[in-house]
Amino acid sequence: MMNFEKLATNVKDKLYRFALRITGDVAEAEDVVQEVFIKVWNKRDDMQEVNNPEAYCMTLTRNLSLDKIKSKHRQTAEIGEALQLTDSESTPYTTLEKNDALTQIRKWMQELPEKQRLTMHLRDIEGMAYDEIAESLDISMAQVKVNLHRARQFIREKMLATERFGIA
Amino acid sequence: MKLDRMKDLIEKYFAGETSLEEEKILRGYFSSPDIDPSLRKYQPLFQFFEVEKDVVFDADKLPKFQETKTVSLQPQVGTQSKGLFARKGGQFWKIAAAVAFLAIASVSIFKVFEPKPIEIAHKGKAKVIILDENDNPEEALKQVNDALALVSKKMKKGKDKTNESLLKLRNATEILNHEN
Repeated sequence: MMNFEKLATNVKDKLYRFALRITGDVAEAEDVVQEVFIKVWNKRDDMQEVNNPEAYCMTLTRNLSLDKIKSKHRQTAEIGEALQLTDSESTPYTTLEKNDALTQIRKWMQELPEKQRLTMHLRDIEGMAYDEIAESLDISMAQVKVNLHRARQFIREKMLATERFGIA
Repeated sequence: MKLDRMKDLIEKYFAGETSLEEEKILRGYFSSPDIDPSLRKYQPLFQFFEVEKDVVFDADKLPKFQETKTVSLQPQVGTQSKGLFARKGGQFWKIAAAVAFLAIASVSIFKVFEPKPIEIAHKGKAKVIILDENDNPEEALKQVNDALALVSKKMKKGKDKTNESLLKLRNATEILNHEN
């Protein structure tokens, strides 16, 4: 039997990473996750009718994150600039900052069109199945496969160009 | 043999054709120290995925909700719907207060902006009332007649006073003529 606390505990990290991938901003991603849980809490009676609460939360996260971007007219290409972590906040990102190759890959991911970026994120980082990704992004499974193929090809070309010519 | 298998898998991966199980095999391969030099260029990509997975949301930043009991997200056996107001608790009184406020506010606004008859005072003795078009026409006619009658009476009174003054003037003139 699933309850609110269990749902929140299970999906909070996934929602946060998803929001962070879209907004590129730690504070905004945190706000999004909090807003998602507040919405779910306020509609907890209706949640009984939701077949897949996790996918529902992912969709909410995506919509709220996109709203935040639109409201501020911000570009998310430079995720590194948006991350304002203090020295005391030791997170995997601080480790990642020290690794140029990983930082470069993150930057390339942020250059991807939204649907390709989110599809690759949900597949390669969250390990979600095609149908789960399709439901979360509100697209067809065929579109999921196309987006994933194009996203991976883009990253591969960037990696090979860097290896051959030293350019990103 | 293993290298060929990995090369096939990496090609399938970039074509977007690998299964979740095959992608798990790739992640395992690229996290091991035994990576073929021809495939080592792809290692940072799979390292990136692993690092990103470790990003977590601080549980202390989760919203604190007032109700402490856990709420089931699935129907519970034997439970029945308690209805809108019963389920929402204080919602009823909030709605009732809002409706009462709106009703009072509406009446007040209506009173303030309600068209009123325009009264024209006439030396404090009589007054003409210009009625709103929504009032009784018969009443309006009666009041207009009264107003006209009042004007007529005042004009007649003015005429009498004028005749009286002229008479006094004539008498005074005759007296002066006799004295001369």
